[in-house]
Amino acid sequence: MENLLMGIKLACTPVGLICCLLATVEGIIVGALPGLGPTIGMSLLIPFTYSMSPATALIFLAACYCGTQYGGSITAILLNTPGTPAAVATTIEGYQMTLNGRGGEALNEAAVASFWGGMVSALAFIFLAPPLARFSVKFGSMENLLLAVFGLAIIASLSEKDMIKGLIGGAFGLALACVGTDPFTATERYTFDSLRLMSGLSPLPVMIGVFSIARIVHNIRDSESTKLQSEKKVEVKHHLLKDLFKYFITYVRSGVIGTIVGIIPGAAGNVSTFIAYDQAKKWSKNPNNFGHGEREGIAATESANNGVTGGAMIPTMTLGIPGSPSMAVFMGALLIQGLQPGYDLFNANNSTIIYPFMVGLIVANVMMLLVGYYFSRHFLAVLKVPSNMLVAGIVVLCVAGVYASGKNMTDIYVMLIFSFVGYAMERFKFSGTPVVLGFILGPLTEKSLLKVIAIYKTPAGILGKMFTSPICIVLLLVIALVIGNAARNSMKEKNAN
Amino acid sequence: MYRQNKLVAVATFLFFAWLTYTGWEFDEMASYMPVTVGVLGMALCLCLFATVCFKEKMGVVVLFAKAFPKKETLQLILAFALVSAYCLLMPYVGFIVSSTAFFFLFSLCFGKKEKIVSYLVYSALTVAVIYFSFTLTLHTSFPKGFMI
Repeated sequence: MENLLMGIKLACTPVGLICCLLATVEGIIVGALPGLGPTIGMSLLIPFTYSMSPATALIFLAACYCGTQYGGSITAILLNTPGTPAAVATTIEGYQMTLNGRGGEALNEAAVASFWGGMVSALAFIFLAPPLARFSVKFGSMENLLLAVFGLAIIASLSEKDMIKGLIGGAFGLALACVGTDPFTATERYTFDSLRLMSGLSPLPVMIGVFSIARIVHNIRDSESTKLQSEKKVEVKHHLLKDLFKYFITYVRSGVIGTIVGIIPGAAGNVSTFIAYDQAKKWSKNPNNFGHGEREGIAATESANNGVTGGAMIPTMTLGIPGSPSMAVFMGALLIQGLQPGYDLFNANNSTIIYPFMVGLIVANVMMLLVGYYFSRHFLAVLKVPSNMLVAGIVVLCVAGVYASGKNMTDIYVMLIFSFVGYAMERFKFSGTPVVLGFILGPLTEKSLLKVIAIYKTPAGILGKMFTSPICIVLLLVIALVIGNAARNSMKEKNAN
Repeated sequence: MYRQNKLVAVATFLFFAWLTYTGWEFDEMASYMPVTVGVLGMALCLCLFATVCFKEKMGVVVLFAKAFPKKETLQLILAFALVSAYCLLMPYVGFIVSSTAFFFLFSLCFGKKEKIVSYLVYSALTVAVIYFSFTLTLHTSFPKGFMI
């Protein structure tokens, strides 16, 4: 407690607070730009941290990380264009709310949910970091494989209307993940002699192609029915105290999901949003409203999205295992500051760094809430732009974002190809979400699968491990539960029709 | 509708069959994932085909987008043609020229024709803002094309 009080004193200095505010604003702007994300946002800020004290530098980067995670939801809600991969799930309800003239309400919900998700993960970092980090180390290849399968099982749950088409989409996503060099033998697969494709397809061009370009061009086609509500007046009301506790249980549950997924190294943080969305739908009093602009859906996805922040920092800072590209950048910043990740960082010698950082995580989330909640309405100005110009602007922004992320034309061509694929999928009633989920989980699935085969060799060995490890048994039960429930709901829906 | 869904099932089946066939050519470890995904995909496509056949027999309506009216189809082709031309010409004419031209033409094709001057002004302004935000903050060096 004494340490935390000392942390408050050191973190809440005027310089610390100003840095936190600036980094939050920068994070929100970078997060809102399609094609960019926390990795680029934090990389941009690293040069500014050279002259800062280690604690301020870490708070600065953490605030940027939190801001980017939230910022991605702004364009996801208003333009159906997820600013970051983690905001993909937010488009499901967020854009529907915008179409219904509730864009402001959706942005407010995103800010509040992001705050709660961030707070849950910050508290997890403060109080549970050492034991949870120890637990995550117990995840071996078999557990990681089952975790990936669990993520894929979510596809079945998300495609209850047409499960077979959803699963085909998931398999297509897994096929896309095969492009590049194989992780074990470095064999080139489906690269078509392109050097750029040797490292695999970048997620951004694929996602922007499937989700953004295809959909916004589709909007032009049926501009009368689904135009970006440029003419509609969107009312924004601020009742922070009322909004703050509107879906408290959902915030906490989703925040916990985000934190747990964030802790597991290599587990795609984006999956947490889909898991949280799925759970919110199951526990909601109005599950039928999901998919038609249900506010609780945003509460779930955004809380899980920001729940990843503190969770991802646990293995990075306690074990030196960066679980994601953005955490690799964060770890680089730690090393630049002369700090060695590990338990040493939590020693008494570094108490003037780690405790202010812990408090700084909370301060960053409060900053993000205030900026996001009270200034989000200014982002609504984008809706007043005529839809033809807005679509043209988004396409230029997407192209610039994709180019900036990879700095090569191949990514632009990949984006173009996937915009056609995305449109064809929309035309033939295939959802884009399973494709992206399969694509994101593909590398983790393959690495874990190959490791499992290499370690356990025979089917008997694999099954032996699977049914003797308690974590595996729990994961298997959860997978069976998810698939069984999805199949039951799918049958129910078919019978109802 | 049934025939179109069957065609989709056949087309996706062929894709997964190609994935499986080419997957066999890789080293043993490298082939596991493409072959597994390919076989899984083929099985799912067969399920889709069987489901459509079953629905056809039972007379159940299957999900499929209705054919577009002629005007909307032309608009769609135009939109995708503009996006494709923009992406493909960018390395030759540069980011600024291609983006400005794309913004202007796209706005003109799908908006009111009398606003031609405002489209021109907005396209130049938008592209300038995007260009400078990326070059100044992210130090992105966009393709310059003939403007070198």
